[in-house]
Amino acid sequence: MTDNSRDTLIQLLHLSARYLDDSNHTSFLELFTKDGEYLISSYAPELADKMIWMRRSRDELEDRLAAVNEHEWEIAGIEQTRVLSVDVVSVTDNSARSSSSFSLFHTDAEGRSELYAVGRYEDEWAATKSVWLLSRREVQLKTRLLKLLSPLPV
Amino acid sequence: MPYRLDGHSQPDLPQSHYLDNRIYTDPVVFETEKKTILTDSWRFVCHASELQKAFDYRLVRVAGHELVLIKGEDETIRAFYNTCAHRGARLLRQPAGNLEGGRMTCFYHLWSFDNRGRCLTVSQPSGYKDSSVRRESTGLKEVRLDSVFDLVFVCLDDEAGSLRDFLGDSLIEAMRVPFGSASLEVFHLHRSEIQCNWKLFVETNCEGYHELLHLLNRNTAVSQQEYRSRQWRMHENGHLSFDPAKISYDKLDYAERAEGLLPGMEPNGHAVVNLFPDVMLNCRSTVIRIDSLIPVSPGKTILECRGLGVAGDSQSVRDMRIDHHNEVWGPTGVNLAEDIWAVQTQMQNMKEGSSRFSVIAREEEGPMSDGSLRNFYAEWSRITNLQPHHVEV
Repeated sequence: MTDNSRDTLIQLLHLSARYLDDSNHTSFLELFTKDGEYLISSYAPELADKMIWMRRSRDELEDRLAAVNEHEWEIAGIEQTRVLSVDVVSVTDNSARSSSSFSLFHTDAEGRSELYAVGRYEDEWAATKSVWLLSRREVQLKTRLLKLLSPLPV
Repeated sequence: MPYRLDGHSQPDLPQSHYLDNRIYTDPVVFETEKKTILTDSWRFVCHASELQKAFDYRLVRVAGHELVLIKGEDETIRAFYNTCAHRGARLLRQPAGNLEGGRMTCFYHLWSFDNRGRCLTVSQPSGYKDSSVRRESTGLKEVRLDSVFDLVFVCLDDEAGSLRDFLGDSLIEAMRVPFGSASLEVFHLHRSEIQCNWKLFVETNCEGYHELLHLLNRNTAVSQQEYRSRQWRMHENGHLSFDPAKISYDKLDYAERAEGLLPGMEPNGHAVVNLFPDVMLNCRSTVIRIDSLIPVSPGKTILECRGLGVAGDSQSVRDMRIDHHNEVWGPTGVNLAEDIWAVQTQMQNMKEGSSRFSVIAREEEGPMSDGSLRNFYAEWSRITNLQPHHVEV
């Protein structure tokens, strides 16, 4: 890959956050490889183990996102803003890893904003024909006691 | 004005068929519940698999009190107030762990206790030589603890009857499959903070009418004749069970739940047991969910959700159970977010007095009867001496 892979990946990471903020689910899904995987996890000190909160293939995630309007999910009406800090990017030939810290703020219909969750995106990337795609995203939530549960990507 | 059912006027119904919504919002009602139902009843606190080794401990909260559960070298789990006998400081401060050498040491004045609550050391004991304070007669306050099918319960009332009497033979029999059929293990735990009264969430777990809320249930359960013939069964002391049935997961293109069956469960099977006052055991063919509640205040409740599978599952079977658990009930599941949103909107309106009365008047054969709710409130009223249809303010 070219020398500017690192800059490209940082740009894609920020775009991934913006796509979710804007509920642009189509563009978010296009960031993944066909066999890409999406996970949300959180550590449970009570069991001293990592809990998997969501594990979906790209296609399964697409199905979930397509069903948003058929369900009664409060999250669908909440404005979201992600603040991202890309902490680590390491590139090896046609694969890469990145680790980013994020804060996710919610803004309700009355314009009240509050911090919803903090955590990390631990990402694995694959390059095909000079295009970087996510082969795996694991959202590691540090916030465990969420005020609002969401069946959607964080 | 002619009578209208509008949520503000007292409904023209038998007293057992409607609720004064101040039962959810009034602080005096909540304090009464804390001193009665939440203290006197046997309360589920964890599954035995959460304490695997000798000296493993877990902190739990019951009726506002923090308790520590400790597994002893004799494999017995004991419960104590997490409070130093000396000056009341918090003894253990991590939610779970293993006691080094089976010993707890208070961080304030360094008194220490063993895993059976007996005092091991009183710091600088010479200062007590002229008083009755002696290490030998000092210890942690123990709380009654018992278990059925590895479900661990505590009771803060020393005078209450036994756990088995509380649950009753018919309910224990209803729990036998799958709880008594295999060695089970908790693989998932998460908590949610819900801005609602605890009883509102109990209600969602013991009435079938709200299944109309969920897209999944509309497609897989409500539309089925077999589902509609299911009955809620009333047991002693306010407990409930919901007849087993099969669910049509194929209608939502979900994989058929025939692999990795829990012992005693049929493919696509479903069975529910509700333990009074606030626990639901929701068993599907491949996975179990246990909901329990920690009422914090009239308008705030912590929901604790556990997922269980068979101890010693292979990794692939465990992964399948995790996915099945998460699909519907996990913190990112399709149904739980809907249930929580529903009860929070109820609470908001009740808190402001925008909704004064609720109706629980459905009388029919089948899962959508409100008989299960009336059964809950009959027991609630018996224990609290409060009237659910009228709160004295």
